[in-house]
Amino acid sequence: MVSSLLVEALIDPTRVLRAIYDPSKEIDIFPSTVSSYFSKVFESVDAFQEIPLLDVDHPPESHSPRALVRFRAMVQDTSPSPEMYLSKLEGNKCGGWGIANETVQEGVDYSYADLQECTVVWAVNVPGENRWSIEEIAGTTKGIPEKSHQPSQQHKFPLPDVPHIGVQVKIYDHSTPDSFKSTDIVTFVGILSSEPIHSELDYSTPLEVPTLHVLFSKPEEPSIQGGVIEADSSNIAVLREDLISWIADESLGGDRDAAEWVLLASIAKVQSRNPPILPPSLALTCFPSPSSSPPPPPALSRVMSLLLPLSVTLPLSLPLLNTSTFAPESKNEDLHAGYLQLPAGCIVLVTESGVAEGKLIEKGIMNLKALQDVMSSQSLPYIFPFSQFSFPTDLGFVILAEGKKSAFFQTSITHRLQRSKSKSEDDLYKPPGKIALPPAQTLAQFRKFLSAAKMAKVQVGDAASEYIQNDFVRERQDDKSVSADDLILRMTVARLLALSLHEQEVSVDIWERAKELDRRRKAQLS
Amino acid sequence: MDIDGLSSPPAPLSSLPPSSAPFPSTNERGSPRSNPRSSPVARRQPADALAFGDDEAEEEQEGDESAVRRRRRARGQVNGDVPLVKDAVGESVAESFETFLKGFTEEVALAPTPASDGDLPEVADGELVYIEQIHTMREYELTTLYVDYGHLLQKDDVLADAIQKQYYRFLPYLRRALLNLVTEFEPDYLKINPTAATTDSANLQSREFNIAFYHLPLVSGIRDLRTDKIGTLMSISGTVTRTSEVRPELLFGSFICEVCGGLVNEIEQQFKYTEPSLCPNPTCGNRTAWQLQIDTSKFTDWQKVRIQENPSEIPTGSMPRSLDVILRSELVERAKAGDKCVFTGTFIVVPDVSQLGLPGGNKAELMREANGSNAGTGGVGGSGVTGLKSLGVRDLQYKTAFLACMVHDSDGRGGTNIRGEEEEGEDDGQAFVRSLTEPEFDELKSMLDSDHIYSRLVESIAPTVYGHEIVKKGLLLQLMGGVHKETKEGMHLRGDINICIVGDPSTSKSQFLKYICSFLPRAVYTSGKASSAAGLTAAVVKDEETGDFTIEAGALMLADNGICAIDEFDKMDISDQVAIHEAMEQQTISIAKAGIHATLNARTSILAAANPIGGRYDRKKTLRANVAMSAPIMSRFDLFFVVLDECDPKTDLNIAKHIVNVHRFQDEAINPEFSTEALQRYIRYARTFNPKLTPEAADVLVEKYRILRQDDATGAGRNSYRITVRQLESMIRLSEAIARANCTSEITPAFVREAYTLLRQSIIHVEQDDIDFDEEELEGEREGDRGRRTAGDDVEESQDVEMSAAEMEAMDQVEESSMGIDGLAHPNGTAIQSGSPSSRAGSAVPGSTAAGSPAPVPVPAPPKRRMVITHDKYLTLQSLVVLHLSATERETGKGIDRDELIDWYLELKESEIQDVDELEYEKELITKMLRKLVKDNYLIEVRGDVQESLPPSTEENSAQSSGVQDGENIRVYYMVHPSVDTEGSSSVP
Repeated sequence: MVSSLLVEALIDPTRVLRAIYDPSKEIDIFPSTVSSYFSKVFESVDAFQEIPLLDVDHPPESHSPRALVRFRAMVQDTSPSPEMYLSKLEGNKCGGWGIANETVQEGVDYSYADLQECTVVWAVNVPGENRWSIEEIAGTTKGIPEKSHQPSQQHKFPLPDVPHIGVQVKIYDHSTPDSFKSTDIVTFVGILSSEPIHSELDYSTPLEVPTLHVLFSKPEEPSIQGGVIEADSSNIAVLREDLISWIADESLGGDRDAAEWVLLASIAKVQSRNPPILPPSLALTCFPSPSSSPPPPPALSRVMSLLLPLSVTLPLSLPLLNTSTFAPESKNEDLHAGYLQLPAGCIVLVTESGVAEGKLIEKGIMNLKALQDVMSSQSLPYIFPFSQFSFPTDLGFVILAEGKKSAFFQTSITHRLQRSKSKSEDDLYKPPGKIALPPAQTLAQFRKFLSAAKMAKVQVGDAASEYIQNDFVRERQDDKSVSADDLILRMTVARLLALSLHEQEVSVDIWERAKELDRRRKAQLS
Repeated sequence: MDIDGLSSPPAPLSSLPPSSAPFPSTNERGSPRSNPRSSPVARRQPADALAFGDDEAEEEQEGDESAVRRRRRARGQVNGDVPLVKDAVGESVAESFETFLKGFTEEVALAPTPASDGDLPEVADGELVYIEQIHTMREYELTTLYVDYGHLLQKDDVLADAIQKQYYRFLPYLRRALLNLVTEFEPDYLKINPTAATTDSANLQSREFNIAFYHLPLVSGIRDLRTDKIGTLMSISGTVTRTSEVRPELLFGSFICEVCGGLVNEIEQQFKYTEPSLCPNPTCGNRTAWQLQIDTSKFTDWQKVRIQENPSEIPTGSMPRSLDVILRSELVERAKAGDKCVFTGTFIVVPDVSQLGLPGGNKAELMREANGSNAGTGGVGGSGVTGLKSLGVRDLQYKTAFLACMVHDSDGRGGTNIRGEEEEGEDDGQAFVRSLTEPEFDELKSMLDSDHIYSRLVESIAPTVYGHEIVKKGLLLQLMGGVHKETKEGMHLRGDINICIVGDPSTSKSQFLKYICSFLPRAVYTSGKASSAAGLTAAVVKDEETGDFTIEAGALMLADNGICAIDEFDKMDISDQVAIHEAMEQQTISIAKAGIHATLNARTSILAAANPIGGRYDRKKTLRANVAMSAPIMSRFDLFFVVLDECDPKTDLNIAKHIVNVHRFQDEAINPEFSTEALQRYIRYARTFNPKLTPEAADVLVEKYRILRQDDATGAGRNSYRITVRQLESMIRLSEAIARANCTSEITPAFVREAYTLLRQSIIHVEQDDIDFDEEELEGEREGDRGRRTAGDDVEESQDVEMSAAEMEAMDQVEESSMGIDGLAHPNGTAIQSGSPSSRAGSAVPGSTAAGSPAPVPVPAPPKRRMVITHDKYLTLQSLVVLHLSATERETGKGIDRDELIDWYLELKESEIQDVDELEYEKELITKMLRKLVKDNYLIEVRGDVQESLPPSTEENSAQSSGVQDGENIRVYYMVHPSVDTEGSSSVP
């Protein structure tokens, strides 16, 4: 029974939609009926995986019209006004979801009480999502795109020059109004068609864009990717050491402290916005520039993409700063994406090596400011006509700077890279092919390790609290330059350290370890 | 036949302009307007998307011309058996409205009219307001009658309700009523005759009259516009983001038949160019060949503006919505880009036909049909939405727009408009309360009903920051804001409160700024180092479309009616400081860039943080010398707070505890009494109050200002800057904000006193010395020291200067309030004073020989602690004692026994006293305090069981060692010294 429902829904969702439509019921509740019906049909993981994917490898063109697809996407633009649609067609037939009258019939009048609203948003595939993560979440996927897809709205994807899918999404169920926010990751399941873009402005020839009529949607649930890690504490410690060694050897010239900082920065996330407990930003300074030109991406970029589900490399250069936009901007009522319109949990690797002497025009300054704002306050201003609004972000930052400090940014943590003598500068920029990969199983363990650490919560025990408080008072008496800010940072580091050890509590021991790590870092700075 | 109707002289009554032509080239939609020939019944063709949902809708589905055509065809078909019914309700609405217009007189004083309506006539009491307006309309050649919806409500709420609920339906009737009145009172004004000689009387063009409603009780946001609002009369507010040029819109076309040459007049136009469907000449039969006669056709002005949601109306995390507003006739060019406006009118839905005729699947049929209708081939269903709709093989989309009958600047609602302020404030408050859910409302109510709300609010501000109550108090008042005012000359007086926090690096300055930004989602955080004047204020950019320069808002303007937090203010370019200087006082920004000069609104409060010159705050110098800021800019800040990095184990421990707890428990750690959301709601509600000074408060204000001025004149206060009328304004603003915090519309003397205290602490008091009791004691014996001047003394000031104000406040409100906030936690007021503290304290009131000095301070230093407290602390305690005594005296007519008084004090302090040492210390402190108060003529000491006044004798007093023992044999009573003005200031004996 269930399976036949499933097959029906997979083959012809439109027919199912018509079939479950009951004109005698209130039209207002039909959308939520649809939503619950289809989510029920695809409740099980297996059933859900049956739904064909819409992604870069399976672009809209590869699907037949009005096919059922699922689209794991980042909400990019929620500014379009809701659209009105006729919810009841002639003959008491189901309207909406792109269903229109099939027959041309004259002289029939419609009741405009049947007009309903649907929310229109623009969604793109998740920017910065690494391939291994896509495959893991979507189930199996083919590696080769069936057709090359030419997105019509390139400006609505945060990362230019990266293949992507952009879809106009129409949501009919309003049981949770305003529930979609920019940069939310949502899996939409719906009927794919092609429709003119819903725009406020009058085009003489409106653009046709892929449009997804949503039957139901699933918000991204934070889950440990790759399942729960099964290991006892000693294994964890070993795994952690292995991970740090691998990061250090393959991407940081053997600097294990640097690798540990990268590890901590990668598992940080916004703990609380009010009071603000934000992820610390990390600058790795004295990071040499590559000798070749154009500058290749650092090996760290590749390493991070292998370890983290979401990572983006932002190679700063004057042309990039002066010409691109980091913050989203609404132009002609169309929200253009900016580099920083990224989903929560994404780690941004900013390289300063491409920056040469030159003039930074106002746009460049604004871009830098936007980047700094996100780093220090985790909020990104979106620019609208006559106003700008800040939207919350949850991004981690690792900055690679050539000098003794970052040229542009104030970071919470600055670590000076201590390259081992045996490693050359070029080693930091070795091509992906030369990076020695750990066994697939170990790599999978690394990923689980990081994902679990990021997910976990950590407490501070009474004893440790007492200890930390007194420790601070002692230090203040020895050295008046120690400030409350230092304590705040150190608390953050201690928490992250505990997370990275998969501990549930910050102990005195961890506190001392965190202090020691921080002390080593500071010693190198001076 | 319908066609005959087309050439007959139009019934003048129903000549509504096309109700919408926002998309002239592409849109077709049914018109809601009545057809002149076919009785108004036909107005509500469903195709206009104006579903009224009532029974009559069924009968009134016939629209204008297209409907006419269809009806012709349809009769006998689908709708054939539906008889045409007159909209009897509409008729009666017209009648009632006419009666209302004819009979309405202003019964009370004239209600304020929207500021932007220069053309609203002045009327005097008892006049027939609207009849008078009709005369004026003729005089000034206006065609719009402005109707105050409030008048309607007041006179005929049934009518008001009908108009509100079914505005679009009744609009033609309302206009007919107006036309009747014009016919009656100004019959000559009905017709215009541009080319009189050539036209016969039948072709005299009639004037189009419009009705503009204003002052609707509720203003909605763009987001509130839902399908159920379609066709109702409502007001929406938004910021205009772009405006189209003004275009002529064809209302009624005159056509010449190219076949027979016959003239067809008054072809009503709707949303697209509409030609007659059939030549009226029975022998002609032409359907297609028409020529428009421009000179006899009727046009009106038309403009489309795009509005965007106001920042305050956008739910957090959402993006602003936009909407098209259609303005007609005299309303065009009323709204300019960047203006925040309120539009009154109705929400309409227009089928979006632009998507038809696209390349793509299923298009062949579409194209054919679409072409057919456009070419006007006269085929059935060739026009009108029904026809189009039936073409659709795809889902037809609909566009929404707002058809406005009235537009005015909405600044008035923000509190700028003083004339309508009280009324509107009340409305806003009510409207806000209505928007709350029940638990939210209950919470707000319990907050309103509770005691000491002000000090408790302060405690909930910036809970992550430890201590610094006075800064928090300042922030609360900044969030509340003063009342914006506008003088009769149109000069705006800011209500915003600007605050500057000066302090050592890595103290909590930035945290305050960040708190405000997280608290107010629309606040702007910027660093003086990173911002250029352009970024901070406004930028001039080239409009890509037109090539013209336009003005784009920068951060300051973005925070319009918000707060702009500027970190590292001192690092800001002087030129930029000057630029925001204007914003701070004038609330506008002038920019002169790229050859254009413009003045923009920038009503924003500034919260600045600045580092002292040289990195650390130098207590030996004045505030002015510590901050790299010019005097004019300094004087624009209402309040200055100095935050110092004190090195003290106890403070450090408290800070550490606080930080660790925040990391441990997040929200629960700081556990403020009120959640951020509750606070936000309270503040939004409080801001709807527009407090006014009571006469008594005004007197106090004058007196306080006099004191400040006098102080300034003698130079004794060593002010950071000259006391000018700016500080008077500051004091008013602060008083208003305090009254708002208490959710009252009356500023009482207590509020003024609190404002004065804050101001004094902020501008002068920063440099007050601490009071050293031990020194004082000595000094008491060396009477000669008393008069010494203070100039050149070390400036001692501490961050707990601030603490005491909260106590003041608490006392002001309830005299025996508990001392919730106290300086105890800040024991860094222990500095030893070498100067002559009493005279320093006295310097606040020059001329008075004795002013404050001793006061108890809980100094947690071990054995022999010095009795030193800050001057503020002293003042606090002093007023505490004086007020307590005077209250008791009023009740009993007697003084208070010393031991009782001490017990009372210790009880107050009970919660803060942690051990016996502290208790002893407090005891000693209060004893010394009392003694000093006596010495300074604040109190009189009365000895013996009989309350017999003895001359207060300081010598005697100080001769006795420490207070506790004196009372052994003789009872000592204290009373307030007759010279102390308990109503006025606690610092003036």
